[in-house]
Amino acid sequence: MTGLVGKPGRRGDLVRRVRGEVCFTDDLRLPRMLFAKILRSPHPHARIVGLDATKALALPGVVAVLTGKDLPVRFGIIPWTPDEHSLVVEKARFVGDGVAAIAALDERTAARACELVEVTWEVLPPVLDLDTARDQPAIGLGASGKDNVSKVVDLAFGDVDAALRGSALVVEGDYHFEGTAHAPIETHCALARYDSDGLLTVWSTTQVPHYLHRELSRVLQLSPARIRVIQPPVGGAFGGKSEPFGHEMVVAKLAMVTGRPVKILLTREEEFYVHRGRHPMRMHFAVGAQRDGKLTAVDAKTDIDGGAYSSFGLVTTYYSGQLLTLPSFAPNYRFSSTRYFTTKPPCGPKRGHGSVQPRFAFEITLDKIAVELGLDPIEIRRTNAVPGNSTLNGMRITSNGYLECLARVEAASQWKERRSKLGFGRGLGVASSAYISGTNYPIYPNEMPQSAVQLKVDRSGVVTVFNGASEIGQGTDTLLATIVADELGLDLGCVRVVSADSDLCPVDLGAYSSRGTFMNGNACLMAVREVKHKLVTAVAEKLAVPPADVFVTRGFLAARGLENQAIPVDEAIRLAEARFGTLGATGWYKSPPGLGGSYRGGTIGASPAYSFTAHVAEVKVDVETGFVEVVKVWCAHDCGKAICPSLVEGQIEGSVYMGVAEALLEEHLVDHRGLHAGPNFLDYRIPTSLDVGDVEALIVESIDPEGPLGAKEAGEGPLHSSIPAVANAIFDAVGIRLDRLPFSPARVLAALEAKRSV
Amino acid sequence: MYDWNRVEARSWTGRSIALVDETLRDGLQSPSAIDPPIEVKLRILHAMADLGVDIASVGLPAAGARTQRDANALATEIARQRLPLRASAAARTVASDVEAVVEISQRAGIPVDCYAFLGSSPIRLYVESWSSGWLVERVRAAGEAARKGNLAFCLVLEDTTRTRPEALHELFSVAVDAGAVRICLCDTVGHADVRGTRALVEFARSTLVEIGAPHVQLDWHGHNDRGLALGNALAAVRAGVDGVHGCAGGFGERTGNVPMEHLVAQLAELRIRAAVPKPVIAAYARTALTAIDSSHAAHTQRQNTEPLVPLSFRVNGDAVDLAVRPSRTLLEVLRYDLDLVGTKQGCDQGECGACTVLVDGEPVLSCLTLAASTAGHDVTTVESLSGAPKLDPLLDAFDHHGAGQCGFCTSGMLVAAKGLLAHTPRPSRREIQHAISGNLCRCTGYGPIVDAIEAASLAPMDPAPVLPLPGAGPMPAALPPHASRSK
Repeated sequence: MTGLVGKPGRRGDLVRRVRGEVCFTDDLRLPRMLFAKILRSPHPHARIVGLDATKALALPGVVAVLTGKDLPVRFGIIPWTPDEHSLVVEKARFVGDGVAAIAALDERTAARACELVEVTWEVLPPVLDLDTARDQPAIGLGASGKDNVSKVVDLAFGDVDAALRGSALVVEGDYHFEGTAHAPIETHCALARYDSDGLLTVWSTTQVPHYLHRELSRVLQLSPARIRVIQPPVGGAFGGKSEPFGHEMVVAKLAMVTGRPVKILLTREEEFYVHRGRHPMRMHFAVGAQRDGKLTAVDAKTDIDGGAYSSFGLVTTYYSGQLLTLPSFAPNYRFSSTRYFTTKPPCGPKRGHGSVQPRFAFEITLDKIAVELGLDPIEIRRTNAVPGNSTLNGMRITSNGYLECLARVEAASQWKERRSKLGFGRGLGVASSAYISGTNYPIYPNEMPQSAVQLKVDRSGVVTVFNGASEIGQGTDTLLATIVADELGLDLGCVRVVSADSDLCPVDLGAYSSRGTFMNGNACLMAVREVKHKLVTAVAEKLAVPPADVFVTRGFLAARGLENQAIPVDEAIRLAEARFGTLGATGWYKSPPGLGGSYRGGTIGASPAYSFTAHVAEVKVDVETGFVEVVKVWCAHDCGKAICPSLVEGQIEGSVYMGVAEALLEEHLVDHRGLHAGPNFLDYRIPTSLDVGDVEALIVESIDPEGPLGAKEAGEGPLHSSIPAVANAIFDAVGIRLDRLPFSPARVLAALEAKRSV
Repeated sequence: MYDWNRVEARSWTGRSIALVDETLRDGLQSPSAIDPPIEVKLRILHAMADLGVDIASVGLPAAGARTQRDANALATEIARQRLPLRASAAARTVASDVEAVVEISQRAGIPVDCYAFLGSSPIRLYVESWSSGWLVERVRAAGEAARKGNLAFCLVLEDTTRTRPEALHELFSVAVDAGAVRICLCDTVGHADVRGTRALVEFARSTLVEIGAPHVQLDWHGHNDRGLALGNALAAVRAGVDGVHGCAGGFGERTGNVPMEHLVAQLAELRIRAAVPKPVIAAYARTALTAIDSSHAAHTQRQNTEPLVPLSFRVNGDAVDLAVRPSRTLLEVLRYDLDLVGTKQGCDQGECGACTVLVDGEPVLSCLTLAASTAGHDVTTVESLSGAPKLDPLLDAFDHHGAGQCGFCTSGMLVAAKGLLAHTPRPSRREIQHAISGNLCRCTGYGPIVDAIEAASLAPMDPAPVLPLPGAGPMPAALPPHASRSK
């Protein structure tokens, strides 16, 4: 360690990003480039009876038109459920499903041409809510065509019924989480070029360039060896760009058809329809406890509104139950989750995939139990902290800073002194959670590494990290540069990071499941340590000392006792290059085998390490207007080791902000005709600088034995419990329980009214 | 909060109120409207159905061959698509006009309500040299034609607010005798305000009862004289009509009609009709107005052929001369014509702030600014902030404080901050929050951004911070003197 790791510092790459020097996807422009637009279905469920694009093709400036027939191969992120077409082949399944694509000389012409495509529809019955999905199986959105079911998971651990019967108290409740959108400021964009030598290059705003590479090959029926996928920096993703999309296939195909580069930029409205946002869930929870607060059993039943397609739905359905068993839990557990298809924009993973919704239900239930039993809500969480190194559903725990997280938020918020003592209208609430640091298994089964880097060491003293991981704003590039610079004693500026280019970088599976720091960091550490070993050996030989005496410090390699003969790092690199030949190294990470339970589905939710989080929220409730103000949130997060503390703080603050927004403002509503209630930033309100309270990020370091330098995830965990913490704080403030999100003034007023009339 | 709207407990009306959409008849008679092609009219018709309109006017078929063709197509569409609309058509109170409506009804195979109109005020009679006996005869003839064609007959009495009660009484009786199922008041409203409206409707209601025709319904179709269209329509509702007319955007002959969007929203507000989601109302207005509003439609048609206009302005201090289409936005010019891609497009509709630039020092949204409007002005983009080695204090502070994660909104934030600091060198945190409140960020939660702008405001402007560049150590040794020159 040479002083970079664990120190707050500048991010480094921001300056070039904001002045247009580093190009985001839409900043790229290629010679002779065409623009594409996609005509989208106006119906939530309808069959294409006729499609005539003659008039569109005749419009001056239009170069090519594609329809579903041109791209007949299905695709999807999960290998077992590929149910999407690039453009509708037979039936549109939501308002916004792509129907035809136009490539034209400019964007406006392409848009106008879309209006000239004549589509005859046979309108089919829509499914716009969970009740219809369950009660009208004949509509047949499911794979069998006989129901609307996407995935069912039923798992039980222990005798739940007996445990509930033997409980002193059982708290039951229904909870509803309406969907929310990612709403990154950069909308989806993709650009494709098909060279005359038959090489296809696709640039895209994706979090999963490797999976995109695979699906492009499948859909276009083109060898992966003839495809190059490049992911430029992404302007926010949050899970919304973590699977292959129809528009990516469309621009690739259009480039092949026209022989010219083709770009598409989705509009803000399209962004809300393409969606893949957080699933709406309807949850029923029954949780039992003894008088001392010890939980006995958790019984959960969840209906999940999956929207039009499978997306990650198989995983979502498991995650809705599997990720609940930490950090405070009962010894008996049963969950039954059913994901239904509806004819709404497809849902997918959003920051805290599948587990934010049940966390909301469970943490409020825990608060109800504490209040009922007259216990301190932090204390009841301590009482039920899962002990040991394994959960009841078979997850392996290697490091656990949970109790410290609780202690930190308890102290920082002056919980004991202030809870329930702030007067009517003001209150504190607590909640806690845990999350994975990457999934233990790749999405498509294989034995190869999940993450890898290659280092190229230049004799000028510059090290380049060729890295497959996706920089989406979370800072993986900075993280890797920090690890390399710290190990070798280099300036941060001497490490260049080249990311996510399938021709230049080894494979990484993508920026999802909070896997970046853990897996990519480990891969990088492995590679840089090999280089470091060569530098140390060369310097030891030069100074004629045993290698064990050589150490790396800022800018130099030196030997104990011979500090005055320290050798600058760039000189050490040249010595090593002379000694070993051209310098470079590869490093990779593969998760340990055999993690997770041995039952069916037991590996879903298995991760090499888990992060822990506790939140305390302080709210002010205006009982006249129903307006809730989140004054402050304290969030303690166990990230194992903060390699770049500024980045970790940024992830905590960003997560809290996003969670509080979901608690108070955001609701992805689709109306009775399948239309989004307001696909823009005026109607779908995300907070402005005037809507946010203070956030205090508290970093807890439990030093994971398998994490890179001890590190675990920080990107998603700190969102989970922010929402129930706000709900519990509202209860502390005014004594109402809000079991349906978001906590809009209307809902708060209605609950206050209901409470008064009791 | 106290809600004065809720003080009065009495319901506004006991009747269920029908909405009659006159956009495709009265709306098109506006001097600012253009008559769109039938494909567009069909789209407008669907938008009406989406909006929950009850009766849609398909036009005045007697006005000409094209109007008749379009009215036919519209009625056929209602029938074929089973739209939840009842068709109506306008006619003068003459048999041939009514027969044109009959023909449409028979072709489409659906009922079409016939709204036959007639002026009734003394002044109109005088100007047109009509006698009251002649009026009566016309009503009878029209009613007879409608009855023969199996149409619901509705008498539209124009200028009713200026008609004597005795004359109205007589016309009502004739209309009822002629088989009218509905009487529509009053087209031109003139000087009458809510008092007149109310008195007229109440009079009409009691007259119908008096002549033994309580079943005959009353419609209100009132022009926007003195800007009172909506107010009068609501007064009419209160006084007891069964239906109100409106047009998209308030388009209509003379002064225009009741804006249908406002009517829908207000009737929901009064809990008389079910609420319609805002996006649906917006879609209705967009569909109709982009088609019939002549200024908008002409603009659309012009787009491809619009001439280039010269644009001379300064961008980041450099003089720039371009020729642009008048519809080109400043964002398009910056990103596409000048390669200044630091300015980002996040929504293209003025909601996110990622495209913020300064025009003469003031922050503007370049996606909503027509490039041509900046002729002669100074435009400043994020590229004006100096890079290495002497970093602009704002860039330096943003990098230091983690004020950008993905960096996509950051350009707009920086420009907004630059605009703020230019006139408020030492802003408070609250002032900073206000200055960037039009710039959405989805990564940071804003805290670090406010910190960074505050830090930049406190940083000494001179000397500017120096970015620590790699390799700032010893440079390669100087070259030896050139051999040939030393000879």
